[in-house]
Amino acid sequence: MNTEETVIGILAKIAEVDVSEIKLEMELVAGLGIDSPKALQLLFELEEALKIEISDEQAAQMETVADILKLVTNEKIA
Amino acid sequence: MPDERKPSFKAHLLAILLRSIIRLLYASWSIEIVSGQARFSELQSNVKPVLLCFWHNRMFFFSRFLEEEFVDRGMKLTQMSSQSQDGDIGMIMAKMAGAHVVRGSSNRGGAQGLRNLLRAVLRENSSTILLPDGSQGPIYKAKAGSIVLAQLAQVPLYPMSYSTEKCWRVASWDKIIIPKPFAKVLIKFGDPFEVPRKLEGEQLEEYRIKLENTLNELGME
Repeated sequence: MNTEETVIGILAKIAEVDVSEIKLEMELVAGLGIDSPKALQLLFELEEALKIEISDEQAAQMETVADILKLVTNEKIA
Repeated sequence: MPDERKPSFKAHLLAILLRSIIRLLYASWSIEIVSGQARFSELQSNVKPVLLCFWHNRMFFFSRFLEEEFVDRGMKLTQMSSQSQDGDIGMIMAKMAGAHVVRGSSNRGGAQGLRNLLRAVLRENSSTILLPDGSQGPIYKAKAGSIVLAQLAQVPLYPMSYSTEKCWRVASWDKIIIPKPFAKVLIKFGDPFEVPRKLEGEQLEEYRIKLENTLNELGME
């Protein structure tokens, strides 16, 4: 499973939607209903699954699915 | 996760001094568990992670109480210390007491701190200390983070508090309580409760209020 599939899979599980419903341009809060508890779970599961560390400053910049992918891809490369 | 900034020498000295003062005072206090004795015994023999909750201004006394009654008896305990210089002192003292520390607060690195606490519970089977009005208040107002942690970790919250008639109050936002020498300290353990994984609508707020009210009732003097 590549990074994108992992991220989409985690998002789908937490947002309780099918993987096929998730689009890159979707907003996390308005589009997927990621509230504070879900955001904490999302960040935790991303860190665990991808073995990366996400700072609060980076987390605050995540507004869309694409933002997450961009961030975790950069973190994986770094 | 490792903290990159090293505490200053001064922070180490202050931590040693403060710890010595607390130990000296603790030896003089008359301590009684006036409510929730069964909960206390349960915690002493418990091997599963729990979330120990009390107000920030009770930390002075509870830091020693938790060390003597729980950590020294084998409880693995993790606490969050803020990333300030005061937090450095708290971190050093906690480590000297045998506890584990993650850095963060509600104001700086809070979410990351909560994730590290969650990791401690789920991956390391550690109980944690939660100070629901920390690290900057307002006093006696629980933040939602404690409830969210209980929700995600699926471990019970154990509210606890104490009261004492003879004490000093530090002029800080939380009015830290320092029982005077030979003071009687009356400890109360509330009923533990769990937070369901799935919460609907206002339920998160309802649990937050439940925790806040319970801690305030337990701490009434």
